[in-house]
Amino acid sequence: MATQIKSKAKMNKPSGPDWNALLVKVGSHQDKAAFGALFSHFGPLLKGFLLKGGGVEPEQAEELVQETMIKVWRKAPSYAPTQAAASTWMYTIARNTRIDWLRKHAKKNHQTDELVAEDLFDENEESSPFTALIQTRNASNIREHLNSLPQEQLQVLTLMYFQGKSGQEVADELAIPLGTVKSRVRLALQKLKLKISPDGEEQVVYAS
Amino acid sequence: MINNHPNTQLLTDYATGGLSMAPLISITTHLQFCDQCREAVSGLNILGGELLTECDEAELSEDLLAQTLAMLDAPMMANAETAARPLSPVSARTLQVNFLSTCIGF
Repeated sequence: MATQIKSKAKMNKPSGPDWNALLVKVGSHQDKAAFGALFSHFGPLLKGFLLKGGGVEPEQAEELVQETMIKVWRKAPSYAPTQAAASTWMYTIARNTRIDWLRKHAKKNHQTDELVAEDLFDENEESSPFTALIQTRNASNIREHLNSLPQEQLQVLTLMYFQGKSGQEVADELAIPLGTVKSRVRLALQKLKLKISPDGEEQVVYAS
Repeated sequence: MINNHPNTQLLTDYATGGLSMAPLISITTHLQFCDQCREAVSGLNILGGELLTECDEAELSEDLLAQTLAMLDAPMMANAETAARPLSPVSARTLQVNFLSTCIGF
């Protein structure tokens, strides 16, 4: 089950190459060496991430890694390091790639196949005027507090992220009430000092 | 101006990719007009990026990079459905609006 993350020792590793700068190089100069470096770093992480979520075979995970990295190459010219760290940007592209892949495999010939996730998720629009500031602040807060989250909170978060699932799906999987999942998510986000919705957690505005 | 916001769980569902199409479209539309929720989603995406970075690596097939590099020069063949579809944010938005009116239409 996908509830474990790296040990603290590994989390405190010194920072490596400047991935943001390499991504900019890919975008501005179609730099294949920079792309290769990004691929070698993020590819195995992406594969690990996808495999942790389960539901995909290793070959399919590689197919998804490849598809994600091809999108990275194609979309790199629109990447702005002031808007997102390379890792955040990669995450959103991988997430969208998996959504499309799952939809394609779940319902073949469905008419909404024409609509792909990147039409609905705009990586650049998921940032705000405060992004540059919060990017740095949030990332260090997250790194600092992720490992001290109570196991039950970490479990819910990692299940959601690794599997690309909703709170309801995770509640079903763990056989716990949705309310419990919601409060764990909320508490975890507070510990990680992440901003939550201006409406708090109780009002359901967009009931599905 | 905006008084109603998706709750934290929905924003998290959005960020993890767990929403089905109808609520996904609602949230996407809301985000276009709401800086506060965009800031929240931005933080949730950073969390996704951190979880990715802290993930255990899984070794890739030796030739995957070479294969992928070869595909970069032939994106049409590599991924006819997605890779060859450059959509600007503007056209993406138009498409959303069109799609939304289609949804509202029935």
